[in-house]
Amino acid sequence: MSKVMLLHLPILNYIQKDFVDEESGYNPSLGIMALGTYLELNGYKPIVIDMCYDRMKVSELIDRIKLEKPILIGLSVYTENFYQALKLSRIIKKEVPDIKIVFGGPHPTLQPNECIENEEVDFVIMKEGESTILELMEALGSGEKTIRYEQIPGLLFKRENVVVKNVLRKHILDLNLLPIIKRELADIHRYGGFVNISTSRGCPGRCIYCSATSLSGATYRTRNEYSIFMEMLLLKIMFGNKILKIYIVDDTFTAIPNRITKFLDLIFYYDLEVHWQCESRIDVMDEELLYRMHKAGCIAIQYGIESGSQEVLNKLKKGIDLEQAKKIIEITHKNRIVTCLSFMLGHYCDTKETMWQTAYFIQELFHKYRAELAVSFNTPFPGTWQFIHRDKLGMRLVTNSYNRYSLLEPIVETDNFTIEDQREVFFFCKKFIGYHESLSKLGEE
Amino acid sequence: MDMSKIPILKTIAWKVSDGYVVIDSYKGQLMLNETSSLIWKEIDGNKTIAKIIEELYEKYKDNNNKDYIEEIVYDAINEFEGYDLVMLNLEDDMDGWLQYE
Repeated sequence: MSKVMLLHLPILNYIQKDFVDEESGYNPSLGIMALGTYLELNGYKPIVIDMCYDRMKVSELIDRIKLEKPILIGLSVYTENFYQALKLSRIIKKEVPDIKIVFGGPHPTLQPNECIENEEVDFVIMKEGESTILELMEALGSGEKTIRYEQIPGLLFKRENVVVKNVLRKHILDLNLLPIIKRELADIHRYGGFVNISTSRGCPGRCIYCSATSLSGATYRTRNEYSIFMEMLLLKIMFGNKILKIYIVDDTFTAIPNRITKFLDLIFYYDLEVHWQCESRIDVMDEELLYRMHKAGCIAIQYGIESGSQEVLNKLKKGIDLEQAKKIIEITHKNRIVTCLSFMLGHYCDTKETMWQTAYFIQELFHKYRAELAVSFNTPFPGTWQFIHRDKLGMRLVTNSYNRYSLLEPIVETDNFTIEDQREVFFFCKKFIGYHESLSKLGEE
Repeated sequence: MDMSKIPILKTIAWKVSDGYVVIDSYKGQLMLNETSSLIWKEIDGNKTIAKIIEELYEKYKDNNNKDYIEEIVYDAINEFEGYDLVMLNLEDDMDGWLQYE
């Protein structure tokens, strides 16, 4: 059985270490787990290594590659770890020269040519990877007898040192056809705390700062209520009380009212006792839905508010009204659901004044609702709409170094604000960020 | 101190107030003096200590010799490290994340 090794790189900077804290939850990357599940279902042997959790040294990784002898190594690559991915690939190629390396994930989707131009990268997969990596494995395993690289949509490769870019693959329209993620591909004994699941791809929103459209296209695709319920039930059976919370990582879980209503009906009908959290948008929530979600075990909801200035929100095409946001936050809080709110500083249309409006809004929400707050810096990732139009939007990037594109550092300035202005506002907001007490309390109820 | 190491900040909550860097660390707020502030602002996660020294020397060579610049950079980075505000990585270090444990 041909083997494929799928790697998720370790976090790049110290500040992100809390994001991969195993005490709150062991959550190997859903992307490589999904690919591994799909490949195994089709007869391949995936080796899934999330280096955020499996903190093996590079020398240990090389030993593992030599031992397992995969025919392909896939790296999940983000803009901020692009250099790291190249560095690791170089080391792997030096130690195991015949190995083939494929880059996939957000950065290769947005900047495929930049990836394939590197000697150590043999293939690049753009957008969703399931079918593309499967066909690539078929091509590699058969020496291109069953399928040639040119016949694989979504693939970039080099033929005699010439880059060939195939047509894009169409999105998977029916996500119910995909297998439920096989958790056993990772270390099943380490699961606990909160566990991530994904029930849709893309986002119905069209906010200009977001990369979702560039990555997932202008379609919002969902798994049906039965599929979601079955995965939650499966996790409950597998891990029992070790799981404190299931985190639904979709950008807008409640975007389709009919789906969420039916999903809640299933939870009530089968009396599934599970705590869960999701992300959503203010404009698709209402009082009745929040009441039912609470009764169905929802303990927290994350809303992206992004700014405390209505004018800024309108320019960003965020599509939410701050008064409506306050109302929904109030109702969420009343239903004893922890409100997690995220904001960004440094939008192209921000000024010092609007960033301070955001800061005072954050302060108000913290004191009123003990909301869980997250503040990051607007970061135009290469290949996104915002990046391409940065000059027109009046944005100046202060660095070209991708490892600073982490959302944790201001890298944009305009005529209306500086890097220092953003730091000053963030400094003020720091004391309201990451308030975990309310969430843990509710989880215990 | 190894000049080829790259200092990396371990905090994002800092600001410049009247020319001085103020840091909100888990140990409390710290204010750096003018010289340390200059050095702090040079730390971008990409530059080696050697590069920081070189750049500061280019800016301030009229009034300072290189040995002096080297000394104050070493002292400041040592102090930042002592306060657990920076970590020092080698450029080719792929195992850096192991330090987060």
